[in-house]
Amino acid sequence: MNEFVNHANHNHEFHDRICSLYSDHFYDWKITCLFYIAIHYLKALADHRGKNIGVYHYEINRNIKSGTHNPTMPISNTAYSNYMSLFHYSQTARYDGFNDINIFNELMKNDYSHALNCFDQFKKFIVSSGVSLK
Amino acid sequence: MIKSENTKTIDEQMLHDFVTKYYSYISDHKQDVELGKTMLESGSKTEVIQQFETLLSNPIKGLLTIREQADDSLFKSVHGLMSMYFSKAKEKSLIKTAYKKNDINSLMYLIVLNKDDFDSRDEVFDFLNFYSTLDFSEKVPVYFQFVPENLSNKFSNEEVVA
Repeated sequence: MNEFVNHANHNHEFHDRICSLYSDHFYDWKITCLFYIAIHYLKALADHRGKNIGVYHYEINRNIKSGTHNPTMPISNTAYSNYMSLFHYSQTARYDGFNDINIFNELMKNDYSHALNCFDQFKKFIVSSGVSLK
Repeated sequence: MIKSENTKTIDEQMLHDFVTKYYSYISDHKQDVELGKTMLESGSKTEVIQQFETLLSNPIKGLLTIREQADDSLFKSVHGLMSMYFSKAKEKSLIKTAYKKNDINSLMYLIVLNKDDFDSRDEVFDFLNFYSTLDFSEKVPVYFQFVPENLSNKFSNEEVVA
């Protein structure tokens, strides 16, 4: 198994466990998990295609966007949007500027719904691109 | 929503808006320098001239000051760009309100959508995706947090930008 797929599956298992144990809590961590599964899927795809997409988020985000700045592994616009939505949600999930934890949880719960949809679509893209997740 | 066409439109329009905003900043700075030059001839030193004086007498401190000012102006320009985007998004009824959270280290915007669904969120994120491709996006981090309408009153103390 590809080392990145292995890591993604590890994160996926953690996500599924916290969902089972805490169905209505810790949405910030659930979102963070989804992003860190997705980034390992992306690295697995890069490995599958023999491409270097970089290490830092800024590099990776640029290298997967089709456009005029010589991306090393441009992906479809839909897959790019889904990945970037997960990236943005994971950033706000780790933002520590909200003092009221109940309001923060409510915001995260709403974000998680969209993040999960983006994740499901992104996962389908990865599988359809030839990456085996088993 | 046709992502590719939509994204391209946002890229071009927003790039134009940002250039306009930055040009405005440079024009203001040019006016400050011109005023300083005139005042210097009559024996007075404006703030800009005092900064030049510091640069010449203590180059390291002066360069640090210039660097801080450049960072500050970039921060303000990015906020200007975001404000313009939110105003346009409000005009086209995509968003209801946008607030800027009081945070000195980053730009965090709280967004209440007119219709909080996946398509609307995708459309707003298209703009943040565009911003993420700009070289200075690492230097000035921008975060968008969607806020359900029933929670918007919890943020009424924040600065309204649109």
